[in-house]
Amino acid sequence: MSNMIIAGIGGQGVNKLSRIIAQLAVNHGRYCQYTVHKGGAQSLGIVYSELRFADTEITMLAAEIPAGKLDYLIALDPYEAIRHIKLANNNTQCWVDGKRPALFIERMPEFFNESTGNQSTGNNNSDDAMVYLQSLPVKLTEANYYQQALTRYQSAKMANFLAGYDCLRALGLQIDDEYQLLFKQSVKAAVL
Amino acid sequence: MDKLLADGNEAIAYAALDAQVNYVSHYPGSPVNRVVDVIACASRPRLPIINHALNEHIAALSAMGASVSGARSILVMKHVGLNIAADPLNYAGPLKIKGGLVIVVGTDPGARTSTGEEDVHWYAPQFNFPLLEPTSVQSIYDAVKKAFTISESIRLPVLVFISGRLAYQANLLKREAQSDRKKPLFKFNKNPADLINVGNSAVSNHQQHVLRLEKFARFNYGVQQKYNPKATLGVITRAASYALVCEVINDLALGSQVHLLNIEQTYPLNVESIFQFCHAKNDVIIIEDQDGFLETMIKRDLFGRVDCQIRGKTVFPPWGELRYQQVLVFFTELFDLAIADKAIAVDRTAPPRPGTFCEGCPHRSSFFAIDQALKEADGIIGGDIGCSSLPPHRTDWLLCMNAGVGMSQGIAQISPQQKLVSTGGEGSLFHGGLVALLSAVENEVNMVHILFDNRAVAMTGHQASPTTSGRVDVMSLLLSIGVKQVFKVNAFAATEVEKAINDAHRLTGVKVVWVTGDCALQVNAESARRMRERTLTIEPSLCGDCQLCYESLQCPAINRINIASRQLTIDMDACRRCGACVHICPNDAIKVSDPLYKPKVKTEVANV
Repeated sequence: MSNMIIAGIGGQGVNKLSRIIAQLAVNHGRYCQYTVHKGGAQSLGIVYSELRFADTEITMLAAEIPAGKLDYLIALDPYEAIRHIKLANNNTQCWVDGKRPALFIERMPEFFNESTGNQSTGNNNSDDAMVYLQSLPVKLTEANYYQQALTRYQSAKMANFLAGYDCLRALGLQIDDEYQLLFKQSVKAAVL
Repeated sequence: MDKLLADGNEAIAYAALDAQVNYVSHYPGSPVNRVVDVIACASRPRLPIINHALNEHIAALSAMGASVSGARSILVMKHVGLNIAADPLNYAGPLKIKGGLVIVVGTDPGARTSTGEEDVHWYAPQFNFPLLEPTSVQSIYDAVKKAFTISESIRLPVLVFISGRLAYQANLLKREAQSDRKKPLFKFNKNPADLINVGNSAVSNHQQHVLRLEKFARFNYGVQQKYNPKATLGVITRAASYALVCEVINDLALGSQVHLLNIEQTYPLNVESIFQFCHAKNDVIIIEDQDGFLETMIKRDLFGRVDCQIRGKTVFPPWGELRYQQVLVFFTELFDLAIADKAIAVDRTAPPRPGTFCEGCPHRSSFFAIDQALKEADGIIGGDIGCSSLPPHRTDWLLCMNAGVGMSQGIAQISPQQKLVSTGGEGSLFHGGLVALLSAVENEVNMVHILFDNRAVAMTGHQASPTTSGRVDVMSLLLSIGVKQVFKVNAFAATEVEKAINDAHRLTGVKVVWVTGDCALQVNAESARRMRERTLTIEPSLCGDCQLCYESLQCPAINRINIASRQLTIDMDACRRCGACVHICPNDAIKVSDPLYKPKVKTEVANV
């Protein structure tokens, strides 16, 4: 039994990546249940999904991952990593898009400064969030998926693909072709 | 057939298809917004007839029409939609329907995708319809399919409630092989005894209705018992709380000390089976979210028959979504256990992300214009449901459909000295806002309504609205109901929108500022061309540092270049090339590289 959270903001492809990872798990004989949490916002709101994997089918499994039982965290935004990191334990593996500019929330200092401890207004980088994450006892992989996606695919929308790829490789799943194929099928403009 | 990965929305759709449904009627609403899209995209030779109704009231009535003509029908809406469908559904019981009629309602404990977490369970005893509440993706499929046969056997509509948690949950689903039914021929047969519901026949139809429902109370659908039947502590769950409670009991290894009963048929209850479960217990805890419907029904039905203590809402609150932690704390305190928590210590919280408009959204520029037009007068902005309400504090209220034009009428009549605009999308206008507008005309109210026309019901996944096809001539329609003047404005030309609002306020009567601009998430040939051929840049030497585009327009694609600087830049990956920023820039500092771009757009004004 293992648990994963994929976190991001509306428009980054959390829902799609969750579906693809779950589908891969199922294709390879694993059991997977996932629940997407999306708010009222189509774009730039909080979106995350809770994936739960097991070797055999479990009939009744809660949607929610209990505190301390998070094994993997993919965050397409550093602040979204902070939102879920309280569920992590000392062995949790995290892949965080660390250089994502703070998107939109930096314009709301009343929320932003209070929760991030950031005193300057209009801070549009997320270094402080990464510094905090680095101080926590988790296995953190920081990558610049946002910039990589822009360079390789001319679209930041592919950051979810790259983050998912890193995660699958670390899990020891050699299913690159299958993963790419599932992505291709779900991406309207075939950028791959 | 192998199991496939499906979410709650898909499970509902597959069940309807596999039950050979003939008629699908809906008004889109999260969390069951995708059901009809999945049905419509199914690859099968004969699709059911799909009725994209303009509101839930009409959706319910048309499904009732199909059902009395013998067609298997499904009616899909969200919890607050049930309020609007409630009027006709009160007649669907006495009606003695023919084809199975299943009403799937998406509920929303926690109000993640709604303006309220209203508990609609109380409609079940009001309508006197059976109510099923599945607990997983598979049980959603099974319950919706079963509901058709139940509905046909007792000739009553069957309610199936799906909570937001389950609607967006995906799991393995086993579909049963479809039996090929021949396409039946449907015919409406006149039947005044059942269909003319007045006076004596209303009373006798009501009697028949109640007796048919009593027949169903002998059913015992979807009962699961787990753990130790000899335990003196009983726990009763429904819907999403079943899995939650199972997991807590497993995690705490309390299986030997608890007897658990999950009920999927929550109305009417099978009283005998619940009595059998409760009578040998000392203590029964009912764990459910929302108002405690199951607790109330169990206490009503077992009144005076059992000695055990039955608790529910005194333990778990009626608000919010039930969380793992709440259930865990309850059981650890009850059994005096310690919680072994391996979670790391975290002392920071993440900032909230209140909704905003997408990049390129026509509403962004419209709201900029509204703010500009009203800022001197500290005016009132009436809010309605839809994408226009995504940033929650841009309007002065955010309640139900048609609250924009509807509440504004009352305020305009009682406080005419205040400058007011009501807002609402075209989805809202055709949902019921048109009647509200006509009502304002008939009552000679002075008010300005801003109609956001983005040519789609965008928030629930771009279902078609009447302006998508362009069949409705909005201008003639508004003028024909007596609107004094209609200003048709391009949403992305904020200064024009502002001017139209100010002009409209100078006139008496009901005026409409019809703001047009396609949803930015709709990709068409023109938007694809713009994305390909248009580039926007902010020329630093011309920028006057007014920060209007960054702070007031609040386009997420416009960012500061770094922490220290106030210099702005446009992220061309996020930008949708709508040109709203170009329009509002007082210094012409935003340059567009597109020969086809025309910055000034003429407003069309029409009156009778």
